[in-house]
Amino acid sequence: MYALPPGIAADRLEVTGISCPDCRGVLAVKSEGRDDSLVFECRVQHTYDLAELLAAKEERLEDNFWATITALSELSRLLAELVERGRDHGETAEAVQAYRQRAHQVGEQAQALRDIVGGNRPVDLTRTQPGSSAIG
Amino acid sequence: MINDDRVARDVIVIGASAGGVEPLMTLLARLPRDFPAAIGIVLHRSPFYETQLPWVLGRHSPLTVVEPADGVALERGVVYVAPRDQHMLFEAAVVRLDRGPKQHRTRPAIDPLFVSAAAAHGPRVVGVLLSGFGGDGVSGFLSIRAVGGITIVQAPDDAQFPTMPLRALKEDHVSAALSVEEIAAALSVLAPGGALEVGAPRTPA
Repeated sequence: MYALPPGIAADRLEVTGISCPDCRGVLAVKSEGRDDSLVFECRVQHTYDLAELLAAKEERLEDNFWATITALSELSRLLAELVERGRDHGETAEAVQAYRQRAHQVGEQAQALRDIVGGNRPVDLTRTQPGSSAIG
Repeated sequence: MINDDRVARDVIVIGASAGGVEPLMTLLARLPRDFPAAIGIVLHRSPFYETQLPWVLGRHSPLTVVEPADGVALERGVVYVAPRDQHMLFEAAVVRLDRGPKQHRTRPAIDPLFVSAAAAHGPRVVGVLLSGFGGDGVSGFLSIRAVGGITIVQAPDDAQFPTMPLRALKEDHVSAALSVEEIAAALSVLAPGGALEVGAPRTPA
């Protein structure tokens, strides 16, 4: 599946293979202006130029990473507390051991994702805007 | 009287948001060439655009203004400007960059710089909060005060967007609320260990 359709034109919107960052609906694209810049528009008229689309996609990507990190961290903590409770509330040794191992595994995964997020370096979009060097 | 115990206040950390570029330029232009302090600046900025920010801020200043790499030595006479999309922290001997979770919905944020500077440098720290929106920097101010540092806001009637200074004045016992020019003069006195006479800042109702 492509991201950008093969026949991008100036007079009509063509459906893309990527979703609208603001509503997750279908995103379409056309070209515009002297330089045939890409302009994106979804079914309900969320619009982006190329730099704005890349920025929005990077933001959504980071949101998704953190949602996963939180889910892993919650599960790890919950399982660790069940290990503590298990000793006093009659859980079998096998159950406690299973909780402990899974807590450790998801804890490692949470840290691995934090390291990935920490090393992410989104592209400098100054170069994506034709001829601009915006301040701030 | 501020700093009547004559401590050299040589770690200066500054936070600004909307309306902050001009005060920062004015402030840096008014500091002397041999200013005996390290300065850290967090200006809320887009994560996606490299800009000429150090050049813009330092245009009329004799000081060296840089966007640091992670781990560079923390030196007096240098102004460290937080790069896009990373928190900047002051440790005991180095500057750190950290692409950790956003704070106050932003990265770089002011609190990480203020809190780390307070933890590493204690009463040597002066925290400065300039024009901007939102609550970033208030927790940092409390951390700086807790270790005996000094906190200064841009006077709300001097700031283009006074919300950040007003929040700090409301939540904390700020040492002074000054115009940008007065802040520059105050830092020049405090950095080598001088004492300063200022009126008590008016706490907003």
